[in-house]
Amino acid sequence: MATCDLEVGDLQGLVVSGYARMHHAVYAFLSVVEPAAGREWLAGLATRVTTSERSQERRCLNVAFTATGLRALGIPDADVRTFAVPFHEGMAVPHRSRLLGDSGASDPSQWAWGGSNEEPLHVLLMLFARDPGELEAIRAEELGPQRLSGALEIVHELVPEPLPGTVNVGRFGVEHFGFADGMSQPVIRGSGQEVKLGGDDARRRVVAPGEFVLGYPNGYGQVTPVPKVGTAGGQPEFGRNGTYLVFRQLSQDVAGFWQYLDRQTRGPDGAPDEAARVGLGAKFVGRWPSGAPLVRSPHTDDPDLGADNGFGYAEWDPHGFRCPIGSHIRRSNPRDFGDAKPARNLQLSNRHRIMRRGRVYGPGLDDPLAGDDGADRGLFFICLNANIERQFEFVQQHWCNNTKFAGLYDEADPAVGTQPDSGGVFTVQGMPVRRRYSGIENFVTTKGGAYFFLPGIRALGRLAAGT
Amino acid sequence: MPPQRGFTIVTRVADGHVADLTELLDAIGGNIKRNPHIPFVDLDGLHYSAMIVVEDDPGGPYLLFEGSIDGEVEGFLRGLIAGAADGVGEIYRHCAGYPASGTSDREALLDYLVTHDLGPGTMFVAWPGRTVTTIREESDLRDRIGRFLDTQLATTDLASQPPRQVRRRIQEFVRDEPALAWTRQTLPKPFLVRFGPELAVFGTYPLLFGLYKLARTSVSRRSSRTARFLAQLTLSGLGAALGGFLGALRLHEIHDDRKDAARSPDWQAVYARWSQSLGKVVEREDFQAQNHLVSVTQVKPGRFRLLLLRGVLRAVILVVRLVMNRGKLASITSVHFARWVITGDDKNLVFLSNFDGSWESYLNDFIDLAAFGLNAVWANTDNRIGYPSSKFLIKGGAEEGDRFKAYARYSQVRSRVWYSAYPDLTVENIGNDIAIRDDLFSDLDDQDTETWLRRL
Repeated sequence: MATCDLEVGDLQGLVVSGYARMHHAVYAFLSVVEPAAGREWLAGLATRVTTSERSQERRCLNVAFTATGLRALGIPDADVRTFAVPFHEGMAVPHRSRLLGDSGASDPSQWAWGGSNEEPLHVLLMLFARDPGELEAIRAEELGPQRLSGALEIVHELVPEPLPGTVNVGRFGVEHFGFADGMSQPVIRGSGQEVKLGGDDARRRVVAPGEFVLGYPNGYGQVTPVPKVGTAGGQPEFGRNGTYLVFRQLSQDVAGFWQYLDRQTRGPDGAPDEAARVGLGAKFVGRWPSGAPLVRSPHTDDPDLGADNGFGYAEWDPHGFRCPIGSHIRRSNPRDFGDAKPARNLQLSNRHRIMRRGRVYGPGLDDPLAGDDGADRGLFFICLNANIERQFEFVQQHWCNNTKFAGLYDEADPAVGTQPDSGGVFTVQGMPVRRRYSGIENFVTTKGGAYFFLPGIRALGRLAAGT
Repeated sequence: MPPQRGFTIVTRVADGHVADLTELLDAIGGNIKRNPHIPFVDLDGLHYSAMIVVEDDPGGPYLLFEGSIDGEVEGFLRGLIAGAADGVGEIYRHCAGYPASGTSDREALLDYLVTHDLGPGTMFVAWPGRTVTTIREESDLRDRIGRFLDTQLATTDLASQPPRQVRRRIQEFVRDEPALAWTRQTLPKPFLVRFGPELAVFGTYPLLFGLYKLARTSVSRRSSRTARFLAQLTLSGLGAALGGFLGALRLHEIHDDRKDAARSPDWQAVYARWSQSLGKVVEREDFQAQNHLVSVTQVKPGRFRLLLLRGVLRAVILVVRLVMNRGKLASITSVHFARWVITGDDKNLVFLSNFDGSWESYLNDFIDLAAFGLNAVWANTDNRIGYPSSKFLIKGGAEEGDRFKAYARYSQVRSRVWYSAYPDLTVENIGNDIAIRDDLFSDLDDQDTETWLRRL
C-alpha cells in the first residue's frame, strides 16, 4: 500500500483491530515449564498468530509476554533490561501502585492475578472466535495438552462476556455502569485506516505510528528506542514492530455507583428522580448513556449523537459548564482543552493516547438500585502503547487520578478514580457558583494486572529460536 | 513583606561517615513533620528544604542542604540553630571542617554554615512576594468560602441568585468572620512583579533602537562618510563576534557529537544497566501532590562550556526576575521553587526543583514547553548517558524525549530529606487563591465577577 509505511505484515493483528466481529474470546495466562520446550511451542504458535495483514473470518490469536516470561524463555536479564522500565519492573511494585492508584482494596496484595512478581505469569495467549463453537475448538486446540504438555501450564484463564454483552442488550460497547464506551480511539498514521477519515476527524484522531508501534517516529517526530535482544546481525532489532500491552482487571460496583447517584439526586420529599440521577451520572462520565457527549447535548440524552466524537472543549465549553472539568472523558482525553491555543493543546493531548482493546466481563446487573447480586463484573481493560509511562500511566495518574487535574483542588475521576477513605469530591462547574458532591466511593477496584510485550511476528520467530 | 531567598550549603562528608549520615537523613526524611532532629514545621518562613548526599563525586561525597525561605538567610540559619542546635550538630558532625566546639559555640556553628553557603544560584520563584504565611492564609480563605457556599447551596436559594448577589453574600460572610480579618489589608505586589515585563521591554528597546540606528547610518547617504564607515565597522565587528561565537559553539557541538558516536556501550545499554538503581530515587516519589527533584550533572570540560553556562544562567536570572514571575517558568505551571547552582569547584551543575505532579508529567512539560531552555542550560553538561545532541545550543537536545528522560533520571540523586510547607497546594492552586484574595473586595464588572466566582 502506497500510503502505508508500517510493516503491517509483521504486526500482530490486535494492533490495528479489536476484532469486533469476533464476539467470543478467552485470555489465558501461561507459565513456561521448560524453556526449550516453551521455545518449540512458540515456533509453532508463531505461524498461527493473526497479523495485521491477514483478515480473519473465524478466529484470531495473539500472544504477549511479561518480563519474567521473557526470562523464563531464556532471554538474559541484561537484554530484558533494555525494555521499558515499567515493563521489566512489573506493575505491582509500590511506586507503580502509587502512580496507578492501586491502594486499599485495589492493592496488588489483594489481586486475583499479577499481584506478585513471584507468580509465574509468563505468557498471555488471547484467543478470539466468531461463535461459541469456534471458541471451544480453538481453545481445545491451543490450550489442550497436546500443544502445551511439557512446555507450558495454564495459570489463569479469563473469559469476557460475549459481544455485544448482557448490558443494554443489542447495543455494542456498553460498559457495566450503562454508558456507551470505546467510540474515541486514536488511528495510527500509516495503518491504512486513516484514509477513511475526514479532515477534522483526522486532525483529532490520527497519531504517529511510533506512539503504538516501536521503531517508528512518535508524536515528537523521534524514532522510539527499541528493545534489543542478542545481536541483531543486520536484521531489525528485536523490539521493532512490537508494542506494550497493559492488562488490568477492573471490577465495577454497579449498584454502588447508581445508589450513590440516587442518594444525591432525590427530591426534597425523598422521592427518587430518574432524570436527575442519570443527569448526574452523565456529568460524572461526560457522556450520556447513549454515548452522546455533554459538550454537544448538555441537557438531555440524544441517541443520534451516540457515536459522536468530533468535538472539542475549547470553543464550546472552556469552563466545564456542560462537561465538568473533572468528568471521566475530559480527564481521560482533554483534547483541545488546556493552557495553550486549542490546536497546540490537541497536539499535546495526542502525545498521551492509548489504543483500547478491552472487553467487558461478568453479567449485567438489571436493577442496580435494588442492590448488588454479589457477582463480579467489570472490564478487562487492555490497551496498547509504545511508551507505558508517557501514555497509559500518564493518563491514569496525571489525568484520571490527579486530584489537581487542570487547576482542580481535591478530586479524582468520579467514575473510575481512586477515592480517599474519607470519600471523594466531584465539582460540577456552573454559574453563579459550582456545586460539589462529596462522599464518593471507589466504584472501580483493580483485581489484577500486568504489563506485557506484544512482539512483532519476526521477533516471535527469534524468541522461538532462542535469540 | 520579605522577599524570597535561597541557600545551598555544601559540605564534604568526613571520611567513613557516609553510611551514618545517610542513615540519619533517611530517619529524618521518613518522618519529616515529627522527627526529633530538625523541627521543619516550626521553622518560620521556610517554603521548601532538602538534604541530600551526593556520593558519586571525584572530590568525595558531599552533603547538600538547601532551602527556599522568606527573608534573609543568616537570620533563618540563626533561628534554625536556636531551635535545633542538637539536630544540626548531629548532622554536621559527619562533615569535614565541623567546628571542634560543636554545638556549644553557636556563632561558630552559624559561621560554618554561612561560609559553606553557595547562595541561591539562579532562582525561580513561582509567586514572588507570597510568604508561607500568606499562602496558607489565602488557601484557608478559599476553603472557608467553599464550605460557606456548600452550606448556602444546601439550605438557601443561592443557586438561583444573580452572580453579583452571590458575590455580595460571600463578601458579607468574609467581613463577619473574625478569622478572616486579615483579608481587609491589601497585599502590595513586589515592584518587579508589577513592572517587570515593562522594564524588560524598556531595557531591550534602546538596544534594538541602537542597532537600527547603526544599520541606518551604515547605509544612509545622509550620514557623513566617517559616520558611515564607523557604523559599518561596528556592525561588522558585532557580526564577526556573533559569527565567531556561533562558529566556536558549533565546533564544540560537532566535537561532542563525535565523542557521543564513539560512546561505548551506547546510552541505552548504560541506562538499562543503571535502571536497577532507579528504585532508590522513585521510592521517595509520589506521596503527595508535589515532588522534589535533585539533579547533578557534570559541566563539560573546558572554559567555553563553563562560561557559556554561566552566561545562560545570568540570562535566566534576568528573565525570571522580570518576566517569569507570575506562576510560570516559560509556560510551565508546575514549578514552585527551582534553582540552578554551579558547585564551588565549577565541576557540577546542581538543579533543585519543587514541583507539582509526577516526574513523568514534569519532564513532559519541560520537553513539550521549554525544550530550548533545557538545551541552553543542560547542553553544557554531561553524564554517562550523555545529553542528546543539540544544534546552536537551543535546537534538538531535549526534543529527543526518551534519551533526555534517561539523562535526567540518571542525573537524579535520592531526596533523603525533603520538606514542603504546603504539600497539598499546586502552583495553580496558589495562583487561584491569590486571585480570589486580590479581588475579594475590589470593584468588578459583570464579566470579572463571573471570572472571580468560577475560582471558588
